Amino acid sequence: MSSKTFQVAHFEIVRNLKKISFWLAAIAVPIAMALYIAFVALIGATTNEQISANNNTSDLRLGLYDALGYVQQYSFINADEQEQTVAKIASREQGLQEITDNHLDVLYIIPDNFATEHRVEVHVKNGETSIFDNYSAPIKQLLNNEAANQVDAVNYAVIAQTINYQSVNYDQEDNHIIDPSETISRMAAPIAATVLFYLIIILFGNRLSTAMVEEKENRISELLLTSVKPGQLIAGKTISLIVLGVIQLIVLIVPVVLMLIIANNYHLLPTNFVIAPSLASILSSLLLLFCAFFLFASICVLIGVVSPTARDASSYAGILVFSVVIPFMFFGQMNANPVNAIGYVLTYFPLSTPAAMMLRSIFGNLPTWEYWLGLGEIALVSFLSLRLAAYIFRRNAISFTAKINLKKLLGKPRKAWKN
Amino acid sequence: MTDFVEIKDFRISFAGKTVIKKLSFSVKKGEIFGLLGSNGSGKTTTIRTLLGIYKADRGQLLINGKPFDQNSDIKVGYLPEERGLYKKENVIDTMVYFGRLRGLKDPKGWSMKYLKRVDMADYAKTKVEKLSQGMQQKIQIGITIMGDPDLLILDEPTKGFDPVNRRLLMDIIEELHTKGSTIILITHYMDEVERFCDRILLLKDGVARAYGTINEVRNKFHRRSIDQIFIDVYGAKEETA
Repeated sequence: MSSKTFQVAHFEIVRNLKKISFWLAAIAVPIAMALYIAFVALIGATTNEQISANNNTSDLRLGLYDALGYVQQYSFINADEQEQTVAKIASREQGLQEITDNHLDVLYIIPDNFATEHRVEVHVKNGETSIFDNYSAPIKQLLNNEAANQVDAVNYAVIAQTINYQSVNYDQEDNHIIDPSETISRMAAPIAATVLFYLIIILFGNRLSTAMVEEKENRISELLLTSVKPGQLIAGKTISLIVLGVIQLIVLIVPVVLMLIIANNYHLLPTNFVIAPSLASILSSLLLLFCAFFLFASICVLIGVVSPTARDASSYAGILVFSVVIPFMFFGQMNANPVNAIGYVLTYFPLSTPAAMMLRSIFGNLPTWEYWLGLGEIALVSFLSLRLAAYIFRRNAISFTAKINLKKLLGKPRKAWKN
Repeated sequence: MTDFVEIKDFRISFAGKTVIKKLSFSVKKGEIFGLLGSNGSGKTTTIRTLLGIYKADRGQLLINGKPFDQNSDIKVGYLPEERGLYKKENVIDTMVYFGRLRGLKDPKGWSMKYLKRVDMADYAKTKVEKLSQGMQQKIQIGITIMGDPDLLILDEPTKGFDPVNRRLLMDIIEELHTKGSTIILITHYMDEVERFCDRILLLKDGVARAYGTINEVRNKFHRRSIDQIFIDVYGAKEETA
């Protein structure tokens, strides 16, 4: 790296790190995640309390009118784990009268068409209508108990869908039994890389695409071009974008790792929560993430070079982001093993290559040779994008207001220095 | 004096329109050379091609015998016509950045000294966007003259300056000239041309209409002032120098 490239990179890194907006964008996701977790935990706790309160029927007077005589046993185990009895009501009219007279809090009616309609009426005195109300729990238990009494245990389990299905998966190559935690561990690093890639695009995409526009918008390029070559400027800018992206990634990752460590120390994670990705999986995912970001940054630099304003650059970057999202629209095809034609097209179409490779890594259908072929393609396209950006920047750096004219930019260069 | 800048048989066109038809001139080492012409006459195009921003259709454009290279030993300072700065950065950081790109050993020290000289030391930590146009122009000029360039190209350096700042800038240019810098001055102020330039070239329609020392040009046109010669050339029909 030449000294001037380093100076450009240094200047860009330092001035971006001084910007509050950079740090706001960097910490926005961890803060949003923390707020979301806190919100979910709070809502969850409140909801559980509410459900628990509503499920607790020990203080309620319950009655049941069973027109069919289906229910034989009028007691159940309530939320306090106490046996509670439901009063047997002789008729619908009597039950409704007792509700009206305030002798019952909840009246269940199994109507005479229950066998065909499968419907039970639940009449609640002073019942609060909300999503948490669950006055039907006692009658469900009574009906379940009756059903269990009338068929054998096996048939009841089948009908009630309480059978546990335990899968045993054998490796295709050496037939060893694959532990589910092994699969989770294999998928963990590619999933993390994919999430980080998309987060960095969302948070950093605009900065990437507008980075090369600033010199043109502020009429600085001509002043710069006597001191630094276009290639050096673009290389410096690209390096700074990658370094800033890595810093942003670290800011994203550190709080998540800290949260996991704290959760683990306080035994907040399930006891069978064991994710141990292999070093090879971590390294290959990191390399893919780095190359994917490099490709995205390079193309954004190219977009910045051909765009006269930051607004134009943002519009073009939107198209790029869309192309990165395309593999997710073909989730099923990416999951197929072996991968079908669409999967291959998305894997080797340069703009969708990183996302397609990441998805295939998650699903475990990306062979090693394809991994390296994909990385090679990403590196080549990135390099060509930067070369093209440098070429266009030289020709377009002082077109401060003109819209992009590809024919003019990429047309046959004039013969120079002809004697 | 030896030729420091050589332009031979230079021709350039854009979108089928020939901007410079056939231009040859030289700038001698250590002189102040006035490149004159009305708007659109091809002055800026010539300079941009000399600095490799544009490519010529034909001809040679050389600085010290070679095409321009940002990494060469020849230090070039160029104040372009279209100029700006990083608006969100402060003055001293911007100057230090350019100073580093130009290879200054102590860019901060040099910048502070310059800011004192142009009475802007108190603005070192001010964001560029907070400065007036005149102040920003002083910063752009400071960036251009960093490291005492061997060749200084100034495209309308005093545009928009009040008389006090014009004088200040011209003093700085004279000082650099005294130190040995070769200067190409593009300006519409003919009093500056008569005061400072050793030789001039007057461009019209991509062709040199006048070229030589101030006195040679005066004698050729039988006029005392360059201002009047300019009006004569631009008021006249096609004629070649």
